[in-house]
Amino acid sequence: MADEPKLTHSATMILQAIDAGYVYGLSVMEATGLPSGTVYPAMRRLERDELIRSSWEHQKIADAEKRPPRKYYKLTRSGKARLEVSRKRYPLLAGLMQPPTAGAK
Amino acid sequence: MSSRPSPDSPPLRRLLLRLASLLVPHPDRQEWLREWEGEIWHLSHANNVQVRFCLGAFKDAAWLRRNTPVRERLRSQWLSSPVRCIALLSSLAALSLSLSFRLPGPHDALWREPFRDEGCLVLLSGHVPDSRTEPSVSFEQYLQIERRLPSGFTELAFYHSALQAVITEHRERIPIRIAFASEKIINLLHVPPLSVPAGSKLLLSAAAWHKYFHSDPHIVGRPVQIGGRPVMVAGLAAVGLSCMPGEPEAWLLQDESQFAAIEPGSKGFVIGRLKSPAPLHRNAPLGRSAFHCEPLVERRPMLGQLFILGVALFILPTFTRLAFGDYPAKTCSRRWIFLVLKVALVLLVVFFGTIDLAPGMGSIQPLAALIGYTLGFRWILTDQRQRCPVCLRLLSNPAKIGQPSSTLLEWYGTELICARGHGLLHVSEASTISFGSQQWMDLDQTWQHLF
Repeated sequence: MADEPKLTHSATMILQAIDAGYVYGLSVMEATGLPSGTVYPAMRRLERDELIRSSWEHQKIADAEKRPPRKYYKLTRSGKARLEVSRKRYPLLAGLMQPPTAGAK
Repeated sequence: MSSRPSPDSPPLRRLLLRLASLLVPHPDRQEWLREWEGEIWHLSHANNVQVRFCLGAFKDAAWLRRNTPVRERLRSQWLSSPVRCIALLSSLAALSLSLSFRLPGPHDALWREPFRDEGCLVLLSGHVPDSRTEPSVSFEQYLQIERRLPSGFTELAFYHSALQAVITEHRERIPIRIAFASEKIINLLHVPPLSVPAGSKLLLSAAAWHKYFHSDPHIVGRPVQIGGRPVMVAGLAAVGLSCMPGEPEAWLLQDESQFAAIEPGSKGFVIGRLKSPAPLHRNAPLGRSAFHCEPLVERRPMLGQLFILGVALFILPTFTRLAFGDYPAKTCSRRWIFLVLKVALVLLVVFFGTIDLAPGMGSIQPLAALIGYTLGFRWILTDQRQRCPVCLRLLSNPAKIGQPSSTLLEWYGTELICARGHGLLHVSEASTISFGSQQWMDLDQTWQHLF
């Protein structure tokens, strides 16, 4: 763990947001206040580093709500471990991010 | 009041997304677009939408592009499909062929005949390792041969070259390798005659005109001094004169009286004209004399490249195995046609490509051609082995199977799959009696629901 590169503040915020329950790009943007040009590339980088993983929403759910399916993100085990380490580096971060309301999720 | 769409209207944002998606590597493009369109659907139903959201898609797409290795991009976009692969190779072959027509050096080496009847022209030389760079016949010897003209020849001409300072009107001294000759050589070579008054005149090669006189369009008629004598620049030398032995950069055509004053021991080159084009072997002895004659114009690129090609084929097995593996006989014809096309196109690309780049590579050009042919053939064989024999697309999803410790029980190696579900390719790490280098296994219709 000590050899792994440290996460940036933005990447830690995104991990924290996903862990808090903001599980798709737009909600992560709203939770972190970061622009789309930062959030989406950062999520791709985190997915490449296997800290988060993505999955497509089931088509039936999307069809029932008459909208296109979304891509959801979730922390992996190593992502959770990295987030724990990063929280010690940014102790105020956990307090900034409240779990989303049912509608926002 | 205005009918113009607002910046964040859905059609505009969709257009921006489509534009951004062009940056995304082809295999990821659909999924990327699907994700962003999924998100934008929610944006368009919210009031706090910003067109900035869509502009962020460009950054995301650019990140994906930067982080997809070039090799992967090339492989997935251009090489995976057999049609695109052939199209790419055809484009490269067409580019290298067209460059060989447009670049002056390759064009002259390949296509231009420097003299109208080059089959009748020969170079007479003495015993020297390289008769084209080292002058080997003295002026005195030339006069002796000319007096007793050997049978089969109509005429002979002599010239010698030296590095000489050319002094311009502005007293500028330019050292140029000049060939000293009489106008006889112009007649012998059947080069178009010069319509200038008698007297010494200088013909510049195109390269010397560019290099030393900065392509001056008014150079013709300018007086210069060579060896203290006034000389007039008569024009540019014909292409053939620039590739004569000794590689002169300019020709000084002198009157017969001046030319005859050359020191008898001065060594130069002797050019002869035969009565009819005769097949001459290199260094064929000229009667009883001590001189040899050889064709004046050598078509080296073709022969040289054929030799290099032979060497590349000879050393190819040290770089890759030659076997293609075990495939069902029914798929043979398409695979062989595809293979033949690839071989033909790669040969064209390397042949013309190395000749196009030859002026910049100098003496390493043959080595570059050898490396080009060897790598080209290696790629052809490797690529052929990694293709589905049915659809000819590149196989994907390589998976390691088995363990080296279980070699006695079953094979171990890599398994690749055709993305269209035509079959599996088993590539063994080590060939055994029961399992060759690689085997193709057709997948029947029952597998189709997986694809």
